[in-house]
Amino acid sequence: MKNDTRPRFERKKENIAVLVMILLCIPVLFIYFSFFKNAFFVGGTGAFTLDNFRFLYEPIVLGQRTVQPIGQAFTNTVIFTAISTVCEVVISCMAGYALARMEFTGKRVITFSLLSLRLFPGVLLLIGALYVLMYLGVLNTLFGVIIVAIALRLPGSTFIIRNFFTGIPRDIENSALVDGCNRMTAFFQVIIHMVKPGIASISMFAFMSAWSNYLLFNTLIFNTKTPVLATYLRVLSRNDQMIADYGVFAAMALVYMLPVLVFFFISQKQLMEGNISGGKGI
Amino acid sequence: MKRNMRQKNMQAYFFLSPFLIFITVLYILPAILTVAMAFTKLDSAFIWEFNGLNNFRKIFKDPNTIIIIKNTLFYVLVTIVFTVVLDLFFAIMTTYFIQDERKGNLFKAILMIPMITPAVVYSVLWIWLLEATDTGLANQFYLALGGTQAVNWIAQYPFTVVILATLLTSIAYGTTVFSSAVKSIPENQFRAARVDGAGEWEIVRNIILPNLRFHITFITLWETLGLLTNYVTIMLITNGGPGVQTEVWALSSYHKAFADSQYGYGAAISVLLILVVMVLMLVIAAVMRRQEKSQG
Repeated sequence: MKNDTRPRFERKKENIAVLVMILLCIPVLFIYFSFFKNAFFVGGTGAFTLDNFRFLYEPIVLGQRTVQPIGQAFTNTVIFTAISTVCEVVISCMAGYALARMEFTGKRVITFSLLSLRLFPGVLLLIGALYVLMYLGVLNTLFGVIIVAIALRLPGSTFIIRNFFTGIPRDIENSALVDGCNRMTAFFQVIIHMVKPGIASISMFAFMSAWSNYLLFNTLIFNTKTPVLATYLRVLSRNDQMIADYGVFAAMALVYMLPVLVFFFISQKQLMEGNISGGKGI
Repeated sequence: MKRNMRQKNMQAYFFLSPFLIFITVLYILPAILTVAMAFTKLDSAFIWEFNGLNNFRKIFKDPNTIIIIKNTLFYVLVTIVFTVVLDLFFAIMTTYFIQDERKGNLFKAILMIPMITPAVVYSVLWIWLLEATDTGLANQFYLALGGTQAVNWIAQYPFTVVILATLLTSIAYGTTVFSSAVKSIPENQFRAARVDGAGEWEIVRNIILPNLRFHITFITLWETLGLLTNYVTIMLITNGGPGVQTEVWALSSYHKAFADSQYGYGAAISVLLILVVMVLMLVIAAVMRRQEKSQG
């Protein structure tokens, strides 16, 4: 830290503020720690155990039910997250670039609809989406959920990345074109590297939202043949009857949240920046 | 010239086509279908049979509707007021009072934890915390502080629980937006005020708040939109219960459509909410246009 030249009373205020913030953050952290502690300790005796993690490799018996190991749900979640994130990022980059940089008939209409769709909460249209999936014959499949998930997130991420593309100086693109690139090669060799922070930011949002998505699976998949982590955990924790005990659930929740947490700590800074450009974005 | 334009169009639409296909098939089309379904009796048999305005009549005849409207208004208003106030508080604390960016960011990161926790886990965290037995964490504190008997928090105060849970997840977004706005206020405005002998409260009220006016309006509208339409937290913690005590408008549309398979009726409820959302969107657009103009 550079030399602190602020007067002493200001530093004192800072210390008070830090103290207040610590006091306010402690309850949140305390609740999280106490909850996840359940995963490692036996309820009554408090002895350390890894028994709660058996769902990782073998079926476990909870009450009257046998719960399948987490493997399939984990695989499905990885597939879902990977495909929807990659597609979302690629498609929104292409569209964002065209809207930021190209002249074509219909640009105003498409830009206007992008701006309105970005504000529109797509979850209100799930009933219609359900019907479309049924018509296409992909209701109840992972594929169906993937395409709906991509479509619902596209306006938001296209909007963000479009703003990043608008921010690139036109000269760079022109010089690439003069140097013998055409639109395609200029896009893939030059321009795409200039918006890396934007790409990082939309990929992170895409990843986070896909990984923790529950609603789409709950509404668009009616059977238990295609479990993902969200529905796998949910089955064990229905409001009326908590099937898993908290030890097992905390262990599962920990496995489920680990990638999110890792991602979060790596990318916390971009997440905040993306937050801002995503929302304020004018 | 004409050929040139055509070539340009070809190129642009090549880039745009995946986007347009997705949006048309899975956004615009569902939107049209949802509106059309609102005028039908569509149920799990999926037979299109139009019944005019019957669904809407049914909504207004349902005695629960008035309760749900009250719930929704109460939920949105209370949550939005607390969200904005807390956003401002945390933004000013972590950016203005705590000048050390590393410390400020650390606190902001901690505030983000509830937001990034998957809803399925987050809801169980609350259910676990508020467990009705003596061993529930909240009850342990309550008993230690002189409570006589374990309380079933979720059954007794469902609305408070739902609002608190939502509040905690919505703080992070506004705080980051506000705090970047605070950061962009020129430092010499603060210095000048201090030289003139202004106290911290006056600085907050006369410099920071006026500078954040646009952001506050924006966040208020944006979060209202989110609160009106996001029902996952409520669904997972109380599922609208006990009875209809915490049922809100968006959740009731979900319940009618997906739990009872009355797709037509659910769509009608959705459509009414969409109308409200559209009005809000127009207001947001107007606010943003005004801001753009005032910035030159």
